[in-house]
Amino acid sequence: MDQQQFSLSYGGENYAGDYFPEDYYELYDDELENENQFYQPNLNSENHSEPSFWSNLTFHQLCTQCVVPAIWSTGNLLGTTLILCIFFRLFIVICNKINIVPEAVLHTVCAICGVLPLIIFHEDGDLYQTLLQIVLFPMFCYIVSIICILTLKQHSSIVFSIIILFTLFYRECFTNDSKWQKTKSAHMLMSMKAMAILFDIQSNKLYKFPSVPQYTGYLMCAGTVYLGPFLTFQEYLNAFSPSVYWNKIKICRLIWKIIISLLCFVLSICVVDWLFSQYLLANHKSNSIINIFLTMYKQALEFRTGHYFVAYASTVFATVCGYHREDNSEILVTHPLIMEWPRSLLHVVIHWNAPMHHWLKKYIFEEVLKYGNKNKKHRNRTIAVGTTYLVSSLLHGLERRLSAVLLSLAAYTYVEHQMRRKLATRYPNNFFYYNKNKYTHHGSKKYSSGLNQGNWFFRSINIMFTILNIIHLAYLGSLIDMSVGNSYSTTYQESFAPWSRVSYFSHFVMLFMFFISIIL
Amino acid sequence: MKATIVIKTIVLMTIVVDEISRTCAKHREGKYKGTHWWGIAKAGEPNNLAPMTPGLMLMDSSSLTLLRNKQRRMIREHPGVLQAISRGVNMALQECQHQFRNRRWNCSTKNFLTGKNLFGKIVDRGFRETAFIYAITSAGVTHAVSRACAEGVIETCTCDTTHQRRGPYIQNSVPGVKDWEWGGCSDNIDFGYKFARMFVDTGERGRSLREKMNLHNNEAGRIHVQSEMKQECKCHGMSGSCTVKTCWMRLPIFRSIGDNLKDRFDGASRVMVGNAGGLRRLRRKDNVQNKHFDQQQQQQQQQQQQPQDQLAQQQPQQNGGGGGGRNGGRRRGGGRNRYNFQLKPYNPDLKAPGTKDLVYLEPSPGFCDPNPRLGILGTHGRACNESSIGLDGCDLMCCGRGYKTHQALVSERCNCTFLWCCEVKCSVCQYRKTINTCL
Repeated sequence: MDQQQFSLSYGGENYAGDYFPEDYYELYDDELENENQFYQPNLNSENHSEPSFWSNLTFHQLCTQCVVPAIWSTGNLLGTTLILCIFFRLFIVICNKINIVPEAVLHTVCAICGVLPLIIFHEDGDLYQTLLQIVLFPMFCYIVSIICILTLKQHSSIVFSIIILFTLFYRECFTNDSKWQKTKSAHMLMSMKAMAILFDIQSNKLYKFPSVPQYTGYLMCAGTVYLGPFLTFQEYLNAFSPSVYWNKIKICRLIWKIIISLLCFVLSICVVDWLFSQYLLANHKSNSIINIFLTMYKQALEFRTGHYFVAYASTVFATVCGYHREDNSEILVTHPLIMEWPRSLLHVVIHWNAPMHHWLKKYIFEEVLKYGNKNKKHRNRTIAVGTTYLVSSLLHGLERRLSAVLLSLAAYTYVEHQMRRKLATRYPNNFFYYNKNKYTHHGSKKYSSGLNQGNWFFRSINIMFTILNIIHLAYLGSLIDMSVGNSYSTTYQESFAPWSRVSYFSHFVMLFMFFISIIL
Repeated sequence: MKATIVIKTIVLMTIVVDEISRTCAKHREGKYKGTHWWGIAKAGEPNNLAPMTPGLMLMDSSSLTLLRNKQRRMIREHPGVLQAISRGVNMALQECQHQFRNRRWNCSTKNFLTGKNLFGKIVDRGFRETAFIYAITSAGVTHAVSRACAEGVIETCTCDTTHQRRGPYIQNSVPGVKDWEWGGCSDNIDFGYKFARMFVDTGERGRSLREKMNLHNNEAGRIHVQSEMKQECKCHGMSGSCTVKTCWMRLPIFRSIGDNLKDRFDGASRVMVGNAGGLRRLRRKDNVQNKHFDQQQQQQQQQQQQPQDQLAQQQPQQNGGGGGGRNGGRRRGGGRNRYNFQLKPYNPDLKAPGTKDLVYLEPSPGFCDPNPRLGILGTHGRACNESSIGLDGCDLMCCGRGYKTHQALVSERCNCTFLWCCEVKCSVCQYRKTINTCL
């Protein structure tokens, strides 16, 4: 009647040996930690990664418990920012009509509108410090850039860039806490803007150094302080000109972008997780290849959708504030469709964050090329690309994972580029992304729409490239963990666990392709 | 005439006696029902794996007879909770059997319909194992109910959104967690804790030390769940920075609670039998200390996030004060100070047990031989590992009685190959395995 249950199977990889106090079961004192072989067959029933929070909800529950609260709470910060942007815009319009308000006031209002959301939604206790960090950094940039301009004639911008980059690096290494994580993007953007000003001054695109109100207004301009995008000084100044026009189409597009942004936010927070865990739960073979890939893809997709959210939100803010290019075109940050169906990695790199790409291209890549030896173009370009990626990861404070991803991306892009170039010499028009007039100026770079032209053979090879890129991107993106606790203060092994789990296969694929491209 | 009167009185008498005896029986039955609710883990057998609607389970009379009136009322008041409790107990049972799989006592259960108690008579004693059972089941209910809230299974509670703004609750109960600006849905530990406290502790009414021990261990199980609550956040911002943060609270996986409780089991402290009056004397002092402690804790939290262990050591005085204590205690009025007691260690040199520690009253028996009085099955027929010199080794497991060896055919997945694309194919291999069982 009494049934003895032999508990065999509850999984237990992390079974630690028991510890016994002295007075208890003297017999067992000499117990060793001994993994019991007998239980091994049943071990794989439990996966090492715990099921996600949203996994076992119905769709309706997901909506009420994740989607709605998430959007509702997003409204706090982003709504305030949007309102401030609208306020700023109206203020500018009114001032343009009245025409008596001095320009300095406009810039100051812009800076205040930019910083206010961060002040309103500070975490308790660090209002003072946040303010200090946000306000002191532009002052620091201003003073250092003035000193650089006055003391150095030739290389002031480069020296300034190095100083700023190492400041960021120092902050990442030594004051790495949640506050820094919060203000990091603001600092990155400010440094980029400050560096851009100095480079422009040196190349005489900007004739005189901006005044203090202009400078602070530019560095902390409304709507773009913490989410971006990077604006050039000219784009910033365009907001103050009365030439910004509004029409129905533009407003519709704006609303559409807001919807996309919120959609991406919801996707990133809960829906992607939920969708994938539905499948992963249904499919119990936790260690099959497809499951591992899906887990990686899920992680990467969450990161990407999160990025789209940020990118679209920042586009909306920038548009509302009225920053625009000379030709009145909007500032577009990213193209989700190009990301999700990457025709080549170069497309991904360019369209991931277009303003930042432009900044890197204009101020780092082309600057480095200037210093190169005229006769060794290929070597120059390789060095320039390397420097660009290095600066890019320095801008992120040489954060371990991001730097690894960026440098890998550089290598991947290079290999793919080489491969396509070699193939293009044999079969022109089929394998290259754009036509002959490359590397002249960005505007003239024509992307061939007929990349998938040609017969089925070339088309299938191009699709293979795309699929390989999707895998690469899933692999790269899986490294970036968006959960807060894991983003810093982890060991080397922990932060690279997603890669080592799949034994760095993607890098090996890349090496393999590199050898093929050499042979070709 | 007389005869009819006599007959009538006799009939009346028998009815009255019958009634009295029935109420007596009911009373007696009720007296021992404190822990019978564990039985609802097995209520739906043999098909308790199938998802059951709460209504169906309420119909199930066999499961409801196990409960006390108050527990029944609670289940009525919170539709859907029965399922969660059942899941919690099953989870606790599995965890217990996992943690004790290599021990002489392996958390064996009885067939509940025949026996009175799921775990057997061992729960009526004061062993270490008893302490673990109480703690793990209490933790299981807390965990399952909290999770069920977030999942929307229980109609009377929803996912916890109270974490969005700073409140006294979060500062007291979850150490080291700062509030954050905006959040979604969290596992509702508040409700789970409250509910488990009312539901699980109903049986422990008396003033005897054994009931205090049970209360303490139940509380320890809940505190383990509560203190392991983790804050999970997701970040959004330019290039992986954390400008926009969304957070929610999340329950730990139950395995980690089981591991922690097992650690506490190994380091459990024996408390003294005797002066139960001493329990009451401490009460006032405790309350004063509570207030002081709360202030102190808030100060400390403002200064820094302090490690949990340190906090756990300070918690003994806090017993009913912070977090959960407010919840269950205030509502029930009479039982407010039920949790304000301090158990005395058996060895006066050792420090008093903390809220997270397990306590026991008497040293455990050997568990080697069957002992029907204690409901111990003994290790006869248990499988053991010949090569291990640990607890699961045949020498220790079989208590020196020796073991017999026999071969068994085992089938397993093997020769798994990856087929292009994308499938993993395995074949089933059969091979002989040596199985040792104790005599």
